[in-house]
Amino acid sequence: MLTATIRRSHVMVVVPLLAALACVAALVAPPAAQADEEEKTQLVVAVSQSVDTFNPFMSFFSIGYTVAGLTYDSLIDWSAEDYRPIPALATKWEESPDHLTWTFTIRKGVKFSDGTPLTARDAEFTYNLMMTDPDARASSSDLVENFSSVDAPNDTTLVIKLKRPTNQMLALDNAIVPQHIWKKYQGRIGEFKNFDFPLVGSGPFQVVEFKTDQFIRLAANKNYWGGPPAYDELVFRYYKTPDASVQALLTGEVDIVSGLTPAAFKSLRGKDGITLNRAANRRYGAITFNVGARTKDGKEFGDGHPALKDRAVRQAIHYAINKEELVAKVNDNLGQVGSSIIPPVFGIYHWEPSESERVTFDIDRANQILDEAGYERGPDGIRRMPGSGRPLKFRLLNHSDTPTEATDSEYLAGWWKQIGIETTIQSADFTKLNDMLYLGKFDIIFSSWGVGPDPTSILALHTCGVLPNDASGTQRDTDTFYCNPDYDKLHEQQKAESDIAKRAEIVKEMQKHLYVEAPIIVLRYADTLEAYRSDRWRGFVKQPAERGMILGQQGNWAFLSAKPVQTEEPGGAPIGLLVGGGAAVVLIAAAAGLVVVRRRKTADERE
Amino acid sequence: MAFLHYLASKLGGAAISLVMVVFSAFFLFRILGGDPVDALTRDVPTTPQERAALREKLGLDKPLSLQFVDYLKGVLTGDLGESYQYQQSVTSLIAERLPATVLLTGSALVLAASLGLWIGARAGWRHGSRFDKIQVGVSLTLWSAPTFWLGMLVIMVFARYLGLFPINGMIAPRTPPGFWPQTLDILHHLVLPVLTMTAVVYAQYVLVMRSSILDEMGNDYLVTARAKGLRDVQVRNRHAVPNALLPTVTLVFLQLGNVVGGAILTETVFSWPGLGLLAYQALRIPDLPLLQGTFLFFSTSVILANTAADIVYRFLDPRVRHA
Repeated sequence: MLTATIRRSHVMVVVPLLAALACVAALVAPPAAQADEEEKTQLVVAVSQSVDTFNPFMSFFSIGYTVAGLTYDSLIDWSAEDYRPIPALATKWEESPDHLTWTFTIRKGVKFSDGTPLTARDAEFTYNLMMTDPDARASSSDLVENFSSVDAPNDTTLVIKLKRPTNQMLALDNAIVPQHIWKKYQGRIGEFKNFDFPLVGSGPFQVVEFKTDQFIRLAANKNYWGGPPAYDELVFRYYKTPDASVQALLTGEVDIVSGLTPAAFKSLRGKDGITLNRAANRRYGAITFNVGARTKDGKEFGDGHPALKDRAVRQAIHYAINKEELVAKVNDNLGQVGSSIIPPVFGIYHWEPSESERVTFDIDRANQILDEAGYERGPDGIRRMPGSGRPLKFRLLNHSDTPTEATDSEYLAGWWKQIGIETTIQSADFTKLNDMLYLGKFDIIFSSWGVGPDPTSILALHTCGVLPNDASGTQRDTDTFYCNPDYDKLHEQQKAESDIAKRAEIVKEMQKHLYVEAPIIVLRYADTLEAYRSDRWRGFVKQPAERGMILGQQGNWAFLSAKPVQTEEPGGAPIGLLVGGGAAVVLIAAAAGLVVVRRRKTADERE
Repeated sequence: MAFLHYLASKLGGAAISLVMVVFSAFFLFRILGGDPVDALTRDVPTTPQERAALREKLGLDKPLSLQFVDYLKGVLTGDLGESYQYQQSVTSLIAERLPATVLLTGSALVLAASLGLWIGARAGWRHGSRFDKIQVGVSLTLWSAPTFWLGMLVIMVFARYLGLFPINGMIAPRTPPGFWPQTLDILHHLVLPVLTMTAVVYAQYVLVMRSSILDEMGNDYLVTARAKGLRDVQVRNRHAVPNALLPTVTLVFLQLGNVVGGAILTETVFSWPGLGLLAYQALRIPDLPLLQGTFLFFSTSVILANTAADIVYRFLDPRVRHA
């Protein structure tokens, strides 16, 4: 009996140890062939979003775009200064008088990271791939469906012929992939995840190692045509909780953190070696109205309050919002008062109301508008619709996963009460809330969008073309069920206009239209909060120049311009590793020792 | 014969549970609502055509009944579908993440069980003593502490202020290739999550072992043992503990089922790339095939572990056999 016990305890120790070793062995990658032990300078960036694929045609997530943008080049870049289209692989371009033929001159002397020269043939190959392969076109079908042909008559010229004039030719930020590698995958682009490292591209950094949800390691392209980066490697390291990334910044495990909460941002104030960057974001926060959910054929559905179809009610509500107070109280002043759906970072296209056009917080004015429109107050102080007598009781729906919206809601309900509107605040998570939005089962809803440098897709949210075909709620393209022929006409005009200044005029006109008609009221542009180790890195070029951001750029400006501060060894990590690893070894040894001692004791007892 | 009957009834029960799990995995996550296409395209401006193409690609344009048939066929042939967000088969994702989770939860389980049983036996043996009060108090406090909060606290103290361990992840991007540096780095990263997880779960072992020892205390065989002149420690270790261990077997087996289920919270705080983190990622989209897959996998392992516990228990304790 005794020996049996001893043997069993022996087994109970050995089995878990073996299991643990097996797990570790399964996790440790097979040793790579090369062994250059030289310490590399790494710029480490905290990220949280998972990578689905490194195939630039297939990625859903912004991290995929960021990595594709680093690995590959595109014909056109968005400038760091003001998001203007500027030469990248294309050094110049020409539009034919009929606007249907575009001729791009491709930069000479560009090489892919494997040494193969990049020519116009690679661009021709890439765009033809997108035109012919349904998987490759998935994320830019709008663009290539309008192409009638793409040809490279020689190594430095690319000619694109169009079916209809479009200014999307100034937004050609698609990754140009090497033909000599990608031609092998023609016809099965959808299955190709592009996980053969190192990746081959012409951009400033190429992915050399990737461990899902752990890190992405990119090596600098020392032959980059725009000049080599000033350091060896760029690493995106995963932190699934924001608090952990802040701690990692403090210990120096990472160099840049973005998307900080106001609380975390403040806690980092005054810390040695850390510089904060309060940047203007590309995102707006708004409320939108159910202006009458309907299908393309005009069939109405949902249960939206009919009073919100009346522009006067929406305008009155606009006057009864104190945006300054919202930014001050809810955002700790880390943001700007909102006006239109294209944020001010896009200086070229952003429209700001003039003093006479601006809607400012004015309860009396709001009451006056409602009085004039015939909304009389009932005995309970709530206004009634003229005719039907239905009281102005609205449901306000906010995202439960965005806590600030709950606070916003309280403020809004308070102000609207003063103009005779009763508000019921409801909360739902992002997906549930969208379900209700597209079924038309809402009155007023919070809405927030990240905006890209080309304004077409954000403006399209309020056109008749994106109304659903049926009432099933599965087509999720409109933001408000707004439909106005005047607005749509302007939208068609701006889509075809390739003169940036002229296009900007039309785009501004459209924003003004939305401001006056008020299917959407933009509340704010919350700042994006970033922090970096300025004791180790300097020289980040921001986008745009004024109050710009470091991460989340459209382009590689910050990563290209970063320079390490010191020349001596960083040293911190290896020492930590030794101490910590040592501690782990000591723990294991102690555990083993304990087992031995216990066994000896039992043996003693046996005698 | 009796044993075969017993075995058949246990296995039959497990099979019924499995079937129910297969059905609920499909419908449970669809009741939650939400549109994966919305979540997937949240960051990137997309046109209606692109969204429709994506919907078709994910198979979300099909009616629910057809989706269910596809799902059933898949489950029966061992194909759990393709994750929306990773664009990779769910089975391969689970296989990739399994070792990390087994390493973390397995180490924590072994530590928690040894520590918990050791403390529990001593606390029960001298119940009411200061050791008993302090140990039970401490373990219950840790048991009640939110894992998230405790994890952050552990990070603050051991990673940030003492600088002994990395903040999170499983391996640092700077670690040189080669078996030993990589292994050492993984162990280095393993310490804090294991510490956190152990701290949270060891209380169950303490309490079960303690009450189990208390049950044995009054028994005659202990009096006999003492009468033989054995020392108190010997009486406890050689006579009381082996008998008291029986109820803990069930607990250990239940926990074995959780080894693969991992600890969603611990893995999230420490960004430990295991199955728990995978399930958390899936829930955020909702990545339906991945949710179904992980749910099936977790439930199956718990059911199997429970069945195994029932069977093993019968061998360990003759009383169950004859009952």
